[in-house]
Amino acid sequence: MILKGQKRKLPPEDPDHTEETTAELEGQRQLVLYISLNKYQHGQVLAEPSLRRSVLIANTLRQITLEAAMGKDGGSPTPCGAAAAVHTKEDGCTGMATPDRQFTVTVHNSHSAAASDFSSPPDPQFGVASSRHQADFQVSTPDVCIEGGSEDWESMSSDPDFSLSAAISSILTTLESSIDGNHGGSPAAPRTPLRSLENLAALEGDGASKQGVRGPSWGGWERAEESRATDSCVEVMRSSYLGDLALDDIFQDIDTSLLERELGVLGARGEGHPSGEELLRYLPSLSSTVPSFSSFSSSSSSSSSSPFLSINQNMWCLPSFSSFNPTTTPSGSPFFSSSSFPSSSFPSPSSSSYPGQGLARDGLELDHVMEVLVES
Amino acid sequence: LAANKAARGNDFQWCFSQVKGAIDEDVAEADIISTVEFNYSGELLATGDKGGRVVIFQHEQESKNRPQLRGEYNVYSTFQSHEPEFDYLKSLEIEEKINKIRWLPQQNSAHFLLSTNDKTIKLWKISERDKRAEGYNLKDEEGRLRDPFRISSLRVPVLMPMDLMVEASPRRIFANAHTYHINSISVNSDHETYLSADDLRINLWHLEITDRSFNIVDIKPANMEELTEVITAAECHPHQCNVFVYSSSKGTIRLCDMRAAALCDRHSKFFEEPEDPSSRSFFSEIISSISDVKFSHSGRYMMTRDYLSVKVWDLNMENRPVETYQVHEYLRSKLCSLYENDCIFDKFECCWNGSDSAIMTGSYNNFFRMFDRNTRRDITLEASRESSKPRATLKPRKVSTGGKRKKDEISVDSLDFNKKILHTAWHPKENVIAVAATNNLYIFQDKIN
Repeated sequence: MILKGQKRKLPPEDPDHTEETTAELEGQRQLVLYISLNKYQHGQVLAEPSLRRSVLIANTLRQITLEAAMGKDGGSPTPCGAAAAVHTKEDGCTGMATPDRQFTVTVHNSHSAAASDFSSPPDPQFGVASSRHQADFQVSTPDVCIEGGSEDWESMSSDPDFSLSAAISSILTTLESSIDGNHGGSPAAPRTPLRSLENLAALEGDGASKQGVRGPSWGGWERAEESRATDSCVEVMRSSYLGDLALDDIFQDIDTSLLERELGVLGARGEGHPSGEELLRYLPSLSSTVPSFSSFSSSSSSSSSSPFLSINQNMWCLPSFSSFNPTTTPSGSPFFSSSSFPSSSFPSPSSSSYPGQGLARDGLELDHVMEVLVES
Repeated sequence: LAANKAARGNDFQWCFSQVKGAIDEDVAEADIISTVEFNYSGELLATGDKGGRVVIFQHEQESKNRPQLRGEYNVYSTFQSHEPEFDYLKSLEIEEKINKIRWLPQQNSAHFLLSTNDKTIKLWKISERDKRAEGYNLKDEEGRLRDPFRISSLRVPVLMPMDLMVEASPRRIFANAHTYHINSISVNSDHETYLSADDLRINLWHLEITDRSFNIVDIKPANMEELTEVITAAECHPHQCNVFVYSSSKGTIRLCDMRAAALCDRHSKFFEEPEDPSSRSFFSEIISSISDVKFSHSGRYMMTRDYLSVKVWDLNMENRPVETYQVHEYLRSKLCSLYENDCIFDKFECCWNGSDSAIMTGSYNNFFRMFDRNTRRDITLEASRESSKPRATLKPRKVSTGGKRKKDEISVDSLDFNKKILHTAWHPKENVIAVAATNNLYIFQDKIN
């Protein structure tokens, strides 16, 4: 149900200016939040990732969280406000306007606008048409709205407030640990050596080349010198949300839409990433929900393996896990194992809690060998 | 003297002098200019690019029959300063892009400069050779060294003139001292030491010693999760060799005195302008991040560039700048879009003219801005091929912010954010400026000599 004053297409005609301003502010906050998430995600694969940029984005996220938290303490939260700042195609997004759903809707919208920025070749300067920057932030997303999603959203039941704030907190924690991981251990936030894994991905054939690009950087960070950073990252990961059942619920909720998106756009992989995945990447509870992947994949109508595979390809992008060493703790390894899935044979997800630990190492060694071969 | 004349209040009349670089629409990424720097006399102008190359231009002598036309800058030397490296241990590629070039004061006939990429600083010697020793009898016709016993006579080689050859040779390589990306280097006024700054640390080097450096600032927190601020730029004071400043991503500048302590984590002065609460937004911190800091030639002031403005600070006043110049305030309402497309993270540089009466900085759409500190007048100019007729006077440009767009004005929405002028330099003595527009280097001169 759309809250008052939150018309998405037309400027709000609500005479109550205060409410409108608050809604707009909340809307912009949501917008900036999701842009920040997208940015941090893609920052790992930019040709020139920079610590300064990451820190500024993290600070912005932190500020948004604080303001959102303060706002929630006071009055009723309006997480749906995101829609107010974003022009979306109305027919696809009305009806089941639960907060989480609009949460994802906004992610879609903001991301699709940003998609071409990040999917273009190394220097985003030249990959982006100037027309994109001209207008005020107007997202044209009719194609990207949730496809056939309305019936799936009925299954969502979690408390919207808790899910939003919890998700934001988890994201922030993830970001902080990833800054640590990226730059404490491996300080030259790297330009991923594209060549080797592009070759490798080309062998695989599908549009995984984009995800394939990220592989080497994982391998590099895994071999980072400062184990101290690794340990603290692991500590953070362990302490945050692994036992948080509510987050699992959220995750499952969003996961459904993600899978639906995946099925719809597997063919269009090269251009950008459905933004539901962005959110997915940031939820650190993935380790406890690896089994849940299989449950979802089996429940979805299409092939069970491909959504899982594609999801895990996208999980390569998870920055926080870059510092994990598969040999240190079990809780860290599933992510590596997930990351290495595309480069090795796809294992059954239900085989064990930590399916591919050995595979992770093999995959990474393979990557490294490929890099060395190419470089030589 | 020329600079003083202009400083007396005459408006500059900038006209096009030269443009260097390819004309193609298709820009090779390696050709993108990443730094521009005049040497102390202004005779040489160095540029570094993303491909790791350094190109040095030399000011030719003015022609005698047309004294009002200053000489041109022509290529003097080109060399590959840095190569891409691969850190096998961490599986990381280190870019060869030249982040900064700084000249050393000239002490003999050779020229020295420091060039740096993200990790390694190199000292280059650029020297001329116009004589060659000829007449050796040590080698046979095929160039093989002759057996010494077969050489029967002592022949002293003779120096013969040859075509001028400019050689660049690396004399020192300062490596492995920076964990993070180097953003600044600055030669100290003692001409013996220099500092290098990365995101979290600043090191002090001696030009003769490559195997060690002193760490003088370290802002890395024990727990990286607490990291909220990084170093964005640093510079040595032009006269006091114990003083340097560094700026941060939170819009602060710290002045440090190396006499006070070996580790300058505690600043001597802390410069920060209180935030205006009415203009607070989600992006306040990002746009306050300082991208460049430059001392005035006098050493009394310093200038900082943040995303929307340039501020001049009096070193004796820490609580606010003495002058603030808006570079492109019309972008304030577009910050969300600029955040989305990453332009908000662009690092613009700024520079003083020789007499500290004017300052210059770049903007988008190949515009650059100049501010006269005395008259408080400002001008927007464009570096473009269209306005590049020889000695053509540059026409002032204007960005229309209101609803009505006058003729010749350009609307904010039409600005090309891919054409950004990040690097500019001003000749230390004359009114000659160098403006880097992506892969092209524009040189403009002031008509009023």
